Amino acid sequence: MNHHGQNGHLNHHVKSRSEGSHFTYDDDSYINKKLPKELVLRIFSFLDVVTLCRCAQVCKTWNLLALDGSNWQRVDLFEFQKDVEGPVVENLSKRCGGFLKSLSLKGCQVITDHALGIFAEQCKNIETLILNNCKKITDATCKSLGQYSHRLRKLDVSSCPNLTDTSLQYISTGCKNLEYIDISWCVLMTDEAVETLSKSCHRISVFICRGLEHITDHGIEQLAINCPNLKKLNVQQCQYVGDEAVAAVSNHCRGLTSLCLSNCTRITDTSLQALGTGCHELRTLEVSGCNHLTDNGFQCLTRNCHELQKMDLEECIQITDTTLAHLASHCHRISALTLSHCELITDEGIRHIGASPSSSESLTVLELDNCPLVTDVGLEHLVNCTSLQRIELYDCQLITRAGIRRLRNRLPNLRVHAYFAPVTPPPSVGGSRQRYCKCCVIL
Amino acid sequence: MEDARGRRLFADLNHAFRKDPLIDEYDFLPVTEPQNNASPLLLVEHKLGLELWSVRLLFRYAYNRLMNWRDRNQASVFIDPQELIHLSRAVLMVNPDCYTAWNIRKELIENGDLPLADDLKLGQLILSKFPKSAETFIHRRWLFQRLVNQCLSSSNDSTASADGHQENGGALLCMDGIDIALGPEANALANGIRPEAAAAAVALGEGGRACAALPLESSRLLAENLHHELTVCDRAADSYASNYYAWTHRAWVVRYCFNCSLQVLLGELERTQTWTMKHVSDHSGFHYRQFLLSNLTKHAARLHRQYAKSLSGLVDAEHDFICDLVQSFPSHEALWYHRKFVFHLMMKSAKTYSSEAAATDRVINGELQALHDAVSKNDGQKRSRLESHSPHVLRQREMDAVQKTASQAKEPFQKTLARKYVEWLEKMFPSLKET
Repeated sequence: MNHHGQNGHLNHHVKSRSEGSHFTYDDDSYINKKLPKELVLRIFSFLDVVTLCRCAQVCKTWNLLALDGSNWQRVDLFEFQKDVEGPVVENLSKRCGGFLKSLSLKGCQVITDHALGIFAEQCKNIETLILNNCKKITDATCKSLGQYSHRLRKLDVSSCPNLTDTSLQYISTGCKNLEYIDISWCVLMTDEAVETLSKSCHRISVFICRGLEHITDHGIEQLAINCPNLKKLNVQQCQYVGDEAVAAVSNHCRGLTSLCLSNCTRITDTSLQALGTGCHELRTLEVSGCNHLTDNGFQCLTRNCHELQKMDLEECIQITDTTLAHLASHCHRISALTLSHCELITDEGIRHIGASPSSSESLTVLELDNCPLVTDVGLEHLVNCTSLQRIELYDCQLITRAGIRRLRNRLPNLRVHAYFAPVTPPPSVGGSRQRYCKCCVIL
Repeated sequence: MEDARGRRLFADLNHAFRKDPLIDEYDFLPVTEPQNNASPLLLVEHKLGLELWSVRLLFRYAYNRLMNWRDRNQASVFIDPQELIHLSRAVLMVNPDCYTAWNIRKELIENGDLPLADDLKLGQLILSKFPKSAETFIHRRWLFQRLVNQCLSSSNDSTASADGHQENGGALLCMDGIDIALGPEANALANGIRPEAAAAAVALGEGGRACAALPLESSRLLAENLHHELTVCDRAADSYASNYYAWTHRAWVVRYCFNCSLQVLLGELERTQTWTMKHVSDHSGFHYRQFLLSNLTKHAARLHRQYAKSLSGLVDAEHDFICDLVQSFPSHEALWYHRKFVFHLMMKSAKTYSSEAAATDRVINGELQALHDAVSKNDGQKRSRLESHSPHVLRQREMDAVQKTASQAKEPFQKTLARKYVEWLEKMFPSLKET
């Protein structure tokens, strides 16, 4: 239905443009006689930006059809990041108008407020906008977005260091449908921004604010209270976010599936307990560098969150084999486990992982680098993890070549990452080995 | 597999730098195979060691990744500036003659992603391993050129304003203060270093101080790093014999950044003396002294006015110094070559000296002499001094001294060198016999 409507509009559009040039030679070409414009347009709608621009150079008809807004609903200019300048975006937005739904200007550093102002005015139906690393933009861009882009659902303004709280005020007044927002590394943002945004955009389900020093427990609390649909929260390296924020999140956002608290060094076991009571849907938990966490916290967490799939416990230096035992007995869906720099882990802990009923099906990635107590015996315990694809063993100094070879013999498809030169694969894959060596010689 | 290790090694290297930002030296350890599953990076007291087997992997990873990004081979390669800095660092630490990596860093500096001071530090680190890396020196020259230009533009902009003068002094003060005693005229000298800049500033008039912050910052950097640069050159020259790259760079710094200020020239002359004494067969150091001396020759009058030092006195001192070295360390050709240069300079100045009006000479000499001893019999001394500086006497004295060396020397090579020197003397200054 919708499509029909569009085509009708387009035909009119095309006619009105080519009216003046009735006797142009584009009508001569066979393909244009045989193929109705609607079909050409339909074909074009599958092409990418570069190909469309090539088609636009074929003849006048194709030019009109290729550059028609309907083909330009999703534009990603990331590949041309260095070359994209203001006028490109201005022309693009004039061409696309209301058709444009998704635009990525990731890394286009020279884009300014002016170009984006014109864009916001022209493309009012925009739903997804990625402005990652557009370092020149300021609050003025967000002002025009707030003014025109009422359908905006996903906004990524990470690494735009000039944006301040005012930006999110504009956004919160205009873009009520916002579901996804990424304000990572916008270092001027404070709690106030989070508060105003969350108070008017209740649909937010993904909130990412990595590396913001002005965000504290208060801001995250407000977010949790106002946006109960929160599914994914990433506060990596917000050093003033602590247990209170996590408590609020687990109280209000029961559906949380992904949480990243890496390098939030204030986090303690209290957070893990809170998550255990509130967020039973949790699938991904990243707490690398939270060195206050202990076995007790993980006990509470693992007893209640059985859905956990990915856990990053890098540099949780206090955890011991006990945590791994809990994890093995309660969480049967673990597929990726990072234990880098957990220096108290021993072979016993690895035995628990290896003996877990789920390990053979689900575990695919295990990172054990810089665990100095793990030995070859620990590797022996992993021979049943048949779906294991990658294991990191860098700097586990008690692991020997022989141990790795034994593991590889049992799990031939496993990629073992260690400082040793890669072990020779078993003879069954001799052919690939030959090829591999050839590459080596060429390199 | 190979790939994965390279990535890890790169992460290890970055980690090492994060752990200890003050790493000031690195080298490759002769370990060709990983002994156990341990990191091949050793960090002890700001010194970094990389086991040899890891270097190749690290380089291959960093280089390929950097070049892929540069060539835009894969459109999806997006590397943020911080990683570019780290990648180019890894590449350059293994192969400092990679132009592309240096150029990438230049672009990063121009974009403001990389602080200039960091790059100076990296260059210094690389020189600790590759003291003869031409590209590293070229890049450092680019950095200093940039700094100096920023400083000059700042002094151009700000002289007009009220406290501009102070800033100007600040920007340029860094150019003096070398290790010799400062004369009372030091400040005057410092401000006179770039007369054309001052003139331009006056001509420009109201420049405005809109972008004063950046130039101020760069002038601070310049002040901190210029003198340090001479130390860097010292170290590079120490760790590699006949390191003309280091000495040429040093000469460039003196000429371009210090604008051949007399104070610096004099300080350098004193500073490099010990180095040349320790490296008697290395001509590169002497060549640098020759550069200093010939630049001093150009400003004989100012030298006298501001430092109460006569050029002939300096050249004489150098001559005594080199004669002493020739005697103490026989059979080193470099010493004889330097002696040739010094003597040639002596003869040249002696000629101009004798052609100058004797009256002015006498006055100057008298003043000089009065400083040392106020005894009234200096008239006789004066005459003898004047005579002793006539080209004829000089030549005769040099001839006698060398012939004496030739006859006394036990080493056959020293004799040969002395004989060659005599031949050179006769060829260069034959006409003087008649005078």
